[in-house]
Amino acid sequence: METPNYSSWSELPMDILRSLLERLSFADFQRAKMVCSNWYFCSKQPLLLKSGPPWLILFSEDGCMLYSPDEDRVYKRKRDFSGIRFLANSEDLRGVLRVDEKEEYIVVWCFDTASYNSTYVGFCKNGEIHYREIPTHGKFQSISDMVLWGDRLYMFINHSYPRIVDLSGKDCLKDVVPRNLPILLALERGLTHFTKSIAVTTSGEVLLVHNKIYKLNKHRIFTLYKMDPTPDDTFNLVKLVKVDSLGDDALFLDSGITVPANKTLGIEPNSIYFTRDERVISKDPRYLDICVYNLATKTLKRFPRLSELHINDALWFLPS
Amino acid sequence: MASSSTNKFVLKSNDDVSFEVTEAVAREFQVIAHIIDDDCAKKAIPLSNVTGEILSKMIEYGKKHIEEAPVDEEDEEGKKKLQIWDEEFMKQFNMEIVFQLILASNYLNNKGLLDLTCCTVADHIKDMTPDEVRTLFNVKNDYTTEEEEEIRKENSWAFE
Repeated sequence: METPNYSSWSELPMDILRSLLERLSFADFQRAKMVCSNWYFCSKQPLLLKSGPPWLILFSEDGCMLYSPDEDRVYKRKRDFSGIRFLANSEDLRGVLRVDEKEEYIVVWCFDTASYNSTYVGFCKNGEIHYREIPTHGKFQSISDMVLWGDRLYMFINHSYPRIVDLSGKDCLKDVVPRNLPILLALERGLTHFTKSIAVTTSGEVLLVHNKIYKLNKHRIFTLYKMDPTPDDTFNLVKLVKVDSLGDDALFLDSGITVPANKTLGIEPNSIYFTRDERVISKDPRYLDICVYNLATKTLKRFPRLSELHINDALWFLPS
Repeated sequence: MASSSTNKFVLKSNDDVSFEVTEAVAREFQVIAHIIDDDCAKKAIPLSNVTGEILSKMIEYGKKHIEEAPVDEEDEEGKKKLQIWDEEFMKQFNMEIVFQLILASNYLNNKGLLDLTCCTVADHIKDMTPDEVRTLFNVKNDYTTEEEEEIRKENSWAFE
């Protein structure tokens, strides 16, 4: 083999170039594609990209931006959406989307139907040309939160109980738990705001997330619960058991899932990444409060830079 | 058979520089470990893809990682010490040497050094524009203007 010279950087063997590109940060990786066609070709191979610290996608009147809290840096994109047709942009229509590593997706839409006082839910998977309806159990069934986890849809019905539907089947849809009991809730006074949402842990367990703001001091407090498997005999209600810690996981409440976290990845363990309340119910920007909540210290970390940006909505995501 | 701390091997670079190393250091490089295991290491082991200059640096790295290896997984202090040494070690090289170290650690299969050298490059090109990376590595831009514009569009936010 000849002694390599500088020009060989563009002709590095593919496996070495791969391990080099895999070590770049999200933004550096995108720029590296531009260097030369060989690097671009390599970037399109299956890579084990390092998952970096969480980023935010921000929506404002002027369009879309990305924010990297780690660098305290805003990336603006100039791309216009003129060539893109929005499928739905209605106030009443809400949805969740999950795309896996094989780029297979499930999308779930729901909207309230005035005539039945209930919610219509439909879903579609890639390869299907029609939506399929997920039957609700009659009148007055509103959905207050939804999480897609694997092939399962976790719905939070009437702010009261979770319902889990398996979407993997070709024809009939099955409820994973045949009958759902309402959850026993203690009343609490002195709150200006109280929302309940659901989340699913890495092991598939359902968590109930209570998010309260106290009138007196305006403090936002999150509390996590899981459901006691044995129901309360007297009232036939499900009891809640408080979960004090997420351990080494972090909860991304926008998508309702937990992910393994650690400081070297830049993801705060035992924390909740939060952007807004009532994601599935309302688009009101007043609910926006972008922060990271530490469950151990019960403290919030906010990002002052974002207040200058006139944001309507935001989502946490893990760049990769 | 003698123990790996006393057993010696000679590694020979492609420009005929010989280095005598202990078996433990030689085994830091998986390709050499295989040669030893296959009992083909009677005399000097010729390494046709590595120059003496690069090989001496690789042996220095291998020795350090044998001598100062952390006691166990829990040995945070030991890991930290070695990490600081690694950083200092890499500071002495220009990108030409780093490039040759990448190729050689890939060829001799030392994952630690390959990781380290790749990380050094990744740190070095952090926040650089594609043009700056091309200048640093003397890489020719082989895109047409249209192609370049097309790729730029894919992730325009990264270039603002």
